[in-house]
Amino acid sequence: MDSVSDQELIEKYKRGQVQAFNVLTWRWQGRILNFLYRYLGNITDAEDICQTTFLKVFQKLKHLQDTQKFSAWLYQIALNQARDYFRRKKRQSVLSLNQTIGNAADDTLEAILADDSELSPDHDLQQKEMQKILSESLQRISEDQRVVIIMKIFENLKFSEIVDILKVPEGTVKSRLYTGLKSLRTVLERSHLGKEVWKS
Amino acid sequence: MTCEEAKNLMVGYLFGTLAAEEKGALEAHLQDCSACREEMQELRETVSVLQKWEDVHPKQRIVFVQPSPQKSGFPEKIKAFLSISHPVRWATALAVFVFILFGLSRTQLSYQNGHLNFAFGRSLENQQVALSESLPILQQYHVETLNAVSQLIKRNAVQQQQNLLLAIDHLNQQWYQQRQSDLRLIATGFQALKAENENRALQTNQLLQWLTQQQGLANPVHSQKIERGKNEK
Repeated sequence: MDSVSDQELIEKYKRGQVQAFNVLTWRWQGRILNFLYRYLGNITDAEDICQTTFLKVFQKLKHLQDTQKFSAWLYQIALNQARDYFRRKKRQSVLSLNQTIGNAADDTLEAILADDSELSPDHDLQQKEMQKILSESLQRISEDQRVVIIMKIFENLKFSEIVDILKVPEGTVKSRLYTGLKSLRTVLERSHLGKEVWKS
Repeated sequence: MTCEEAKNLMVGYLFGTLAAEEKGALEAHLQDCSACREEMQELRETVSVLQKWEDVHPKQRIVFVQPSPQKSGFPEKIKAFLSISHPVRWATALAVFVFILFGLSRTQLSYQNGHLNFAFGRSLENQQVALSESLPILQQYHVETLNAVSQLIKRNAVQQQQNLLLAIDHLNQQWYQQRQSDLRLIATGFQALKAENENRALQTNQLLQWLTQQQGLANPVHSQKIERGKNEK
């Protein structure tokens, strides 16, 4: 349990204590990194955007009035940074829903192992293969649906928090989640994801 | 309930946000409608597959440092000097101003027959100055001025001493509060570090267990021998 709340850390930072901001950053860095990784589909890009996000937060936090909504504000900044990055790189997904995932030339065992220099046991290898398929599948559904799926399923945010971040009605959030999950199911069924994954 | 209405409630049902009445109605519909039941099952499976995607850990922590304060130039130093209300500072500034003004305008002063004369930009060489008459009065002024300045200095010294004590006391309090705050932050940092270390130790243990299992599988004969040796003993 953290003894100091986010709000207290923000107040300390506003009074000039940079160390309080560092504690706040370390508390949120993991979640924002994972959010960006699943959104962008690339860990290196996610690490870069994560740094940019916290730099923006460092510059703007002193002007944040409602510190109770810090997390929503933080996700908004991260999402805006990621969207800007996508626009700059013109990497909007243009892949077809019918294209098979997990069979590309770079999907060899060596390529997967080369993703990480650390020695990976069997579990890690399976996890990496699954991550690759899930990540590619997420990139093939619409951006609106992808954001909602990541926020609800991976970030475990409440519907009301997603509404605060995206500024859309709750009905829209639920509808995007429903259609997103259905689209994702279609993509995953065409992937090389093992059948046992669905049953276990 | 129609299938369309059921579909609108499925996501809420999946994440447990439905009201009891809606939940009951949907469950009743799912019992009767196999298509909706299958769709709900597929949604549940998709969420379950996604949840198997484990989090990544940041390779390094982002650290921000205190920006260095901006150096102030000469005008800022003058402003800072005058910004604090202090009689001696204002008197010094006024004296410097008057001195410069008089110097620039070549002002000369004289005292004659009980009258103080100012002369701007011209010499007083041709005027007769009755120094003998004015000398005692000037001396008296001189003594009075010295006394006044002496009193002012004494009063300021006492005031400054009091201010200094107050400032030291205030500084002491601030330092104590800052220390308490830093200690709390350090404790929070240590807690985070401890949790991270425990997590890594757990991962290492899992890796070792896996390696041990793999070793056993790769050398079944060797394992059997070990087992047999244990039994013989």
